[in-house]
Amino acid sequence: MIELKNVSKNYGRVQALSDITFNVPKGKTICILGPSGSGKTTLLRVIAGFEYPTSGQVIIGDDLASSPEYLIEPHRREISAVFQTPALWPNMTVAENIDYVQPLSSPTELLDQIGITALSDRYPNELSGGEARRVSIIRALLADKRYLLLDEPLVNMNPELKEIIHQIIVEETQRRGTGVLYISHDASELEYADKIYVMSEGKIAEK
Amino acid sequence: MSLKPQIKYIAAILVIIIAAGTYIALNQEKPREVVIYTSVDQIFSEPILDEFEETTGIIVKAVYDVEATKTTGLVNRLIAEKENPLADVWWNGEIAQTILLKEEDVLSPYSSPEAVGIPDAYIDPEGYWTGFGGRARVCLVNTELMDPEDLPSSIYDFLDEKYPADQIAIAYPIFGTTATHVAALYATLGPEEASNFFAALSMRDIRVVDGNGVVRDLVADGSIMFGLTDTDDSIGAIERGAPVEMVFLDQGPDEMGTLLIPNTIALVKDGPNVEEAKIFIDYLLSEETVGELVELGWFQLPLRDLEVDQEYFDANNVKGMTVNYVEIYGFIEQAKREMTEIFVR
Amino acid sequence: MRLKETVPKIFIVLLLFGPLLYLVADAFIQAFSETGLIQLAFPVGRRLNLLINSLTLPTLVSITVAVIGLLAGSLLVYEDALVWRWIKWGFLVTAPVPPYIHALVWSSTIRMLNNLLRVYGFSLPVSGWFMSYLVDTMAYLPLGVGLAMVGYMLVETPAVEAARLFKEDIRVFMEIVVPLASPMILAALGFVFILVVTDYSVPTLYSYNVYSLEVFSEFSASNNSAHSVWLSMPIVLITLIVLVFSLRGLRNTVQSSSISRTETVSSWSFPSWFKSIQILAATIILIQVIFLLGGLLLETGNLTSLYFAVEAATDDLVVSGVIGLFGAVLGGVLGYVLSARLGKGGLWWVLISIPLALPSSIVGIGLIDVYSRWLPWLYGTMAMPILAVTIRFVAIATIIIYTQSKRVDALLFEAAELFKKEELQALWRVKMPLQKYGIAAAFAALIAFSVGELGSTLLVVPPGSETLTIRIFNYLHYGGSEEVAGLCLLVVVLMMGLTGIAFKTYIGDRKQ
Repeated sequence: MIELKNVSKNYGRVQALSDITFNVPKGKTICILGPSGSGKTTLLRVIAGFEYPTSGQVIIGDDLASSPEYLIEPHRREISAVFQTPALWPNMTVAENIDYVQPLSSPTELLDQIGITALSDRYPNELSGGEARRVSIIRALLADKRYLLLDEPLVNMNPELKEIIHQIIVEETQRRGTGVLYISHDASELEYADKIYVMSEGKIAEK
Repeated sequence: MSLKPQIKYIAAILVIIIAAGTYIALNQEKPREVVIYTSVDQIFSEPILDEFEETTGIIVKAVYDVEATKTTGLVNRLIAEKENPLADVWWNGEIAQTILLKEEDVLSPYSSPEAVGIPDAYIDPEGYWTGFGGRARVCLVNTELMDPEDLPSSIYDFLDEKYPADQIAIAYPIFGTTATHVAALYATLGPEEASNFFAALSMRDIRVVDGNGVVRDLVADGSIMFGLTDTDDSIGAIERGAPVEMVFLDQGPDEMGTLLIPNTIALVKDGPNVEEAKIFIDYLLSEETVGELVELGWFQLPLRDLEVDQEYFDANNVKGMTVNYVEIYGFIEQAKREMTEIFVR
Repeated sequence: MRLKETVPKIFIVLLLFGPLLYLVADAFIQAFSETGLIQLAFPVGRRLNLLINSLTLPTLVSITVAVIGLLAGSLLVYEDALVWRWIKWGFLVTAPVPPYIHALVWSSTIRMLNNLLRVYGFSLPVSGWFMSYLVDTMAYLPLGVGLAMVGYMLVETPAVEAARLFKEDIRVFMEIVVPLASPMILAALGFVFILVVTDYSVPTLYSYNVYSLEVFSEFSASNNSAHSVWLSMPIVLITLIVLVFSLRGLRNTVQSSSISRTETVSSWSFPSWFKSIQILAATIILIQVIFLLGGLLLETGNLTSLYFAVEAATDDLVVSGVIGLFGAVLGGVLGYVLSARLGKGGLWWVLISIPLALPSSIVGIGLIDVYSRWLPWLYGTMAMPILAVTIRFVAIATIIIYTQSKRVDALLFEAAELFKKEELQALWRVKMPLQKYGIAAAFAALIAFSVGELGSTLLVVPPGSETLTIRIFNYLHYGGSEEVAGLCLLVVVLMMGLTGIAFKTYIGDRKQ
């Protein structure tokens, strides 16, 4: 389980997160809804270990992962992520981007399902926005970590593709028993959520 | 694709090679060597050092100073290193900084058998340094700009209104042999008179330039009529065919004479190669080497009874200042500070 | 985990600042026993006048360089014409050529010019502040233009193009582009100010008294570094103020421009008066390069002289090469590590630049004091001059790498950290490849600056070794012969090649 206990995060005078307490059990999908600027991305960054919390604790499994004085490095947290931007490494092809997280001996069914097998030899600047986003999703799924953070993964996708990819995410995470923290501003993506929270001005409340 | 394990093997092999090489290097028999710190212009000192190396087989490692640091750099290096000195020998183109190093406990006494014949005035009474071969302070004049009957004959002529101030130059009297010359005037004339003299020079607004070499160049190219410099710089200009002539100042029977600046050599205390250092000092003080340095043009006055082929002036007829070099040294700090007050504004 | 961050910080601070901290601590301790020492830090009378007057030269030089950079930089970045594109970065290859080589060339040039002008009854001054101003301006022009160009390149194209829909180009340039590029131009102004105010070698060459000479003169008189440390406090304070002011602008520009750009604005329609002054500014830079190369070529005379000069200086070339290469590696590694710290606070910016602001001989003395006493096995080896140049120039490497890294989306680095399977995987496969141009540019720039360094290298070079710069200085003093010009030409050509590589690779990351 990922547990947040009274986590706050300040940037100078700006309070991005205020006394956040909730948890993400393994095998469950937790969704957070909120408008832009509510602190959702900051929350993800604190959980992933990119930022120290100003106060409070992040506990992953039985281990303290983050506190104001302590931080376990991101790659040791058993967390995978899909960011708001695709964040594909421009010096590597699609295949190399995926290989970085999980060496592949052959294309998987997953790559075919998402429709990116044919893109394997392309560089990120040769992909469309939608293609790049699909690659970033498959990269995160194939990392096969215990927890998956998704920050608006389906934004700017056409409805048909959105449906396919959403289905794949749900199936894969349920099959692997991954704990999922799903952030979105689109309520229609939340039908498989085990719990929904609403975030506003750095505060969180169960819906 | 993860980091190739081959890289780790290559790294391990490199470490082994480096370790083995270091072991071999450290256990090799060290050749004899001597470390010389010298303020003498590299163009003059290097041939002597090369010759010593060839003659004795002792490897010479030299550290040269540069004009830009006005000898201050090397002297301060010796002082800073004194707890773990790298140098064996200090060969200075003048004397004041050598006396400073003695005061700073950087030197060790050594009386070389080759110093026989050098007058006592040029040898430290306690044996910490030996003077050998000298340069003289001289007025270099441009013969195309000046008539022979109008040449300056005394340092006081630098104040004479008949010579335009912007046609006269000295090097910054805060560094090098010019600073030593100032201190010598402090010792000879008294601090007040000497200080007043330079204050008057500053009031005249004569040109103060970045070194004796610059004075030489300005006189040689006709930018100025005359300037104060050293004999080695002057001879350099003469040999290059510049229309210049050396004038030794204050040579009259009742006049103070010009400053002779001896080279000095000293043994550095606790240097790593004491025996080799002594061999080098003996070599440098030998009549043969002194003669060679005169021939090279580094210094012009052997300071001992030695036949030298000096074609530009009669070395035996230069009247030097009657000075005690230790007394000169005693005035250096005061002179430098007062000259800074007068000229750096 | 904080310990893991703290230990490298302490190591870097000790390595870079240990010798200087020791000197400062020693100066403070001596102040307890030597009355009047602290007073040296508060100039009065003659020294105060000297200090005030000393600020004129760096102010004039830095403003001139900034103005020419502003004008010429805009021409070189925004002009489409093939001639400007080809010679764009060629202008900047003389950036690390030391001022003394410019002095050699310009002194001869002014003398020759005066021979012509005297026919008409007048002549240019050959000494004083005019020559100091001319030489320093020519020496630092490439630095100013280079930074201005980077400033223009960091201005976001969409923002400019949006403005061009509503106002004429000259107004867009003045009201949008220049303010957005100004932090880099101000940074250039700051760096040039610092380099000029801490230098006494060029002004004393032309009999122009400056406060830095006072500092050095005191060192010469007292042979006590504590005196110089206290006396240099006003200069250090002034340079720190300038540094903080100019680097704040750089820091803000870089942090707010993290989106990489692939195109520059083109097809400007400027009025002819503006185009004229742009071309004039670019011509001044061209004159600088032509006169530098031409003057040295003429002085060298022929290839035979050059050959003999190179042959005599072969060992020195090797020593300079070793110092440059290893200094670049160490400085590059430290610069890479420090560049990650720059985003964490302004104090790091100030800290890395202190060694650049202090007189080079102070760095050398500090190294001797610390290493000869406590690490004698290291002292006396080639490690010392390598350390000296690293300390002096790591700021340059750090800032180059940092500014280039800011053109890469930070999220790429974070994702690499998140997904890595091995400890060094993110570093080897993502971070270094994406910053390779900055790293290569920093490396080449470090080599170039290290080869030309004199003040601190002289104090710590091991016996038996000599750098090319030391030999050139020695021969310069003896009398500017053909050999000197030949060696200077060799230094210039080598530095040109290295700077060319640095700037070409620095701006080569278009696809990223």
